[in-house]
Amino acid sequence: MEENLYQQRKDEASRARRKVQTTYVHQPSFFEKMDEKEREEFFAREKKRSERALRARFIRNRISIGFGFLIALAASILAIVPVFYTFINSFMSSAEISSNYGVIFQSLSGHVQQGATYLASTPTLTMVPQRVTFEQYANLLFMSPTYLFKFWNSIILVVPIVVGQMIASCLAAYSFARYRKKRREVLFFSYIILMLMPFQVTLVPNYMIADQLGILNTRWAIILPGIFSTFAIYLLTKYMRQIPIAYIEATKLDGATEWQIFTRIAVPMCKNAIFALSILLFIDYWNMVEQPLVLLTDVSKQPMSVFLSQINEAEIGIAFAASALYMIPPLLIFLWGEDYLVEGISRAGVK
Amino acid sequence: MKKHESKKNSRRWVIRAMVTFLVVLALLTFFSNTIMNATIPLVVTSTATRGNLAFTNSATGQVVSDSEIKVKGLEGRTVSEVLHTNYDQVQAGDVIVTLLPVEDMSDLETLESDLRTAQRNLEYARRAPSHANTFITETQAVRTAERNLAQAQADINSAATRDEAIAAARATLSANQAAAAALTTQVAAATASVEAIQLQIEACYARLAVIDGTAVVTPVPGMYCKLDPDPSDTTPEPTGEPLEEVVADPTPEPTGDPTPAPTADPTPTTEPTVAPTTEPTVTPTVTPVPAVPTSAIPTNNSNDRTAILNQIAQLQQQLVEAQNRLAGYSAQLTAANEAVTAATTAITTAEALPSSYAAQDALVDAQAALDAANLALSDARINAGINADKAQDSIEDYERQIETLTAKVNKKRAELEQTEIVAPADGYLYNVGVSEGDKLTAEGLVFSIVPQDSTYSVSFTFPTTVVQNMQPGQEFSSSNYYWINKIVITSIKPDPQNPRESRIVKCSVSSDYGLMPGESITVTADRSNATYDHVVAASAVSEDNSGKFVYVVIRSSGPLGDRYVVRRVTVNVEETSGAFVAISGEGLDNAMVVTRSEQPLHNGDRVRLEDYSGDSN
Repeated sequence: MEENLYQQRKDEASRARRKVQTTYVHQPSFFEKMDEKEREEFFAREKKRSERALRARFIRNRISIGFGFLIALAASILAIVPVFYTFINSFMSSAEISSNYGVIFQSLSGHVQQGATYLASTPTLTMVPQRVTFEQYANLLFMSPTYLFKFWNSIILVVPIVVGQMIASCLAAYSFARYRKKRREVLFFSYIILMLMPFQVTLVPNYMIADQLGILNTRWAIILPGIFSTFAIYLLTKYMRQIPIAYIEATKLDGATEWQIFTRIAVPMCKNAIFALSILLFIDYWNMVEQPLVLLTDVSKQPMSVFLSQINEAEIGIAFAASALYMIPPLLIFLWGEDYLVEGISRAGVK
Repeated sequence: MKKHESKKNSRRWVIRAMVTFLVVLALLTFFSNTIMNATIPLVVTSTATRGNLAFTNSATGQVVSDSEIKVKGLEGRTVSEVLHTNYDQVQAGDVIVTLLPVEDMSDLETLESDLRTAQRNLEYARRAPSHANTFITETQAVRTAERNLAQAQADINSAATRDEAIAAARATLSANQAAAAALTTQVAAATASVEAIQLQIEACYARLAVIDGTAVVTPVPGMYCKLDPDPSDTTPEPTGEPLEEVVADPTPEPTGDPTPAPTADPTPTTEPTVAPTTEPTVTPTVTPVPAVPTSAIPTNNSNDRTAILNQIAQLQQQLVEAQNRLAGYSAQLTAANEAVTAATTAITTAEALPSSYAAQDALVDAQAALDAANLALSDARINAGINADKAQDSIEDYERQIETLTAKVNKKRAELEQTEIVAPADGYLYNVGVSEGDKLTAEGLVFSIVPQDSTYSVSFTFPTTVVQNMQPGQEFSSSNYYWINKIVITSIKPDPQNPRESRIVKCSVSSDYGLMPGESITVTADRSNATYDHVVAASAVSEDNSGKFVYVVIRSSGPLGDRYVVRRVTVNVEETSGAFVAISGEGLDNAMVVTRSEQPLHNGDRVRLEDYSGDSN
């Protein structure tokens, strides 16, 4: 039946192509073949089916939303709990901290029993301190100048990197966005390749270059590679390419120079992206550990993040307070640029 | 617009917080070293290393006088003025210390009050009643107990024959009761016979009176003469039956005394009375003599009269016999009743006696009561002796107390009157231990007097190993003291504080220039050297109530740098050579020992080490 119908339509098509006029035989459609009663039954049946389908889709949506909510809630709890415990435990005394978490260090190498101790007694996670004390903060702020110096080391390293990278990346991104020639595209592609490379791959070349430049074991060994990082250039380039060309041409017609176009048009329109990048870069470099460990062998120049990653049994008494204080600058930065961060990231991919 | 303003304000607040945070951090950083240096003490350390220590075995002692006279204080007195100082030469009687007059006499008043109380108590004790005792009560109790014991012994003997006595008495009782019953019947019969005979006699006399015409015959019922016919009797006149047969006693005479009188003793020793062998089987009825009716009286008066008289004589004879029998039966009845009464009494008495077991218990109880009474008597005598001794002892105690209190009162009174303390002998004043305003005590030393001709001695403490080469009579070098002639060992004794490892070497000291007590003298026994494991500077060793100790610096490295904490280690000082000491203790191998600190240290304190890196030397 279907083959006949197919052949019939094929013949009609070839006749029409040859402009051969034939008598059109009307073929009744599926609905026309049905009488009124059959149609009503058909519509009633279809209505029920569609209702079932809608209800099933509604339930599926609710289940998927609930499941997603639970996953998000669990992830949020997992992310918040360490921060919460850090803050709570910063009000414990050194003795209480050693009593609760000393077993962690006893399980590390260098201790006699090591893993056996850890397995025998897991650390005690205590919500409420036995005695609320500011002993950790007092030790940290009044009796540990080294901590303060390391704090300033972090600031000294991170602020130039963020500022310098913003300047360099804005200029580079404008160039890549404004002048799209073949060589520049190749260079931009190489930036993407570099960005995709793992950080550890570029660490050794960085070390060698720093050694060649004679800046090894100086802060410049950290700052200079940070300033010329690729991620900000890539992101800002993609962002600046969204700027309508009509704006630039209009300013050119008004007699604006290239610098004026950059400073008056491009940078203000990329403000959100710049702030978002600044926050992300600050948090990223505030937590850097590997670069200082490799490129800054002088302990006195290492940032606070290195200390926090190397907390051992001797320092555990002040570790929580140090972590709590260390959280403050990124938190303030985030609170300051929260809106820019959300907007900048969300609009980066909009064409 | 409003939302934009809010965000702007929020950002402003965050910026302010950032600036504040950085400023605070900068300030803390600026003052961080200052704060740390102010709170963490700086210490100088040296390593406890193995080394050779050269030392001298020397000891130091104080010169003491061998004849020092110590003057003690007066309790409660206050020093007004001290008139001399140490080493002043004083004469006997010189006033050394003057005392403030006493205003508070309460101590003396208390002592006097105690003395009065003791005197009153002594008087009461002497007036106490005599403790002589005759122990009458106890003695009477003993005697009563003895009597009870004797009675109990008698009871136990009686109880042994109790059952036998009861049986015998009951046998006697039963026999005599039967006899008594029979005798009672016989007595009644005999009585009836007597009465009947008497009636007949009276009837005969009445007949006789009728015959004589002196009386009118009035028949009396029951009273009739033999010669008178009974008006009611229709029987023919008897045929002249002899009176004797009529009135003959139908009751056979018992063969023996049927009721032997029972003895007073109810005991079975008395043989039971034998019951009468012949039972009175015939009722003792009096057969009246056949009376002659008045109508039948012969008219022949003389004959009648004679017959009546004869009859009367017979009746009187029968009456006498009947009365005799009645008396005999009555006597037997009485004897039988007495025997019954005696047997009843014997049973009652025997039944009242205790049983053998009860008597035995009573005997034991009586013996126990006697023992108790004897013990009570003995105790009473002992207590009386003790009380007497106590009374005597209390009297003696009061006497001694009075004597002591009297001495104290006198002494106190003398002390209160005393306003100065004088030197008891000539010599040097020494050990003046009081000053103006001090409160004196009875045991507190006020000063000492060292006589001018006193000899002196010094005691040195040496280790036992050093003393091995010493002996009494040996001389120590006195070259360091030009004013000393000789230091000669007089005795070597173990040190009571450390008898195993230490000896006290006592030396006599002589000098031409005059010695003063309290002078310090150091003597050297020998010199030696040895190698020790841990030699540190002498300043590292400290001492407190817990002993000698050093502070060892414990280093802990971390990302924030090195931290140094001191730990107290108790040590034993093995040897000392002035600047250095050899010590032993736990954890001292190559340990950093604190030799100097700018602040007092405590166990666990965090410290800073003195930095010598900048020193060129």
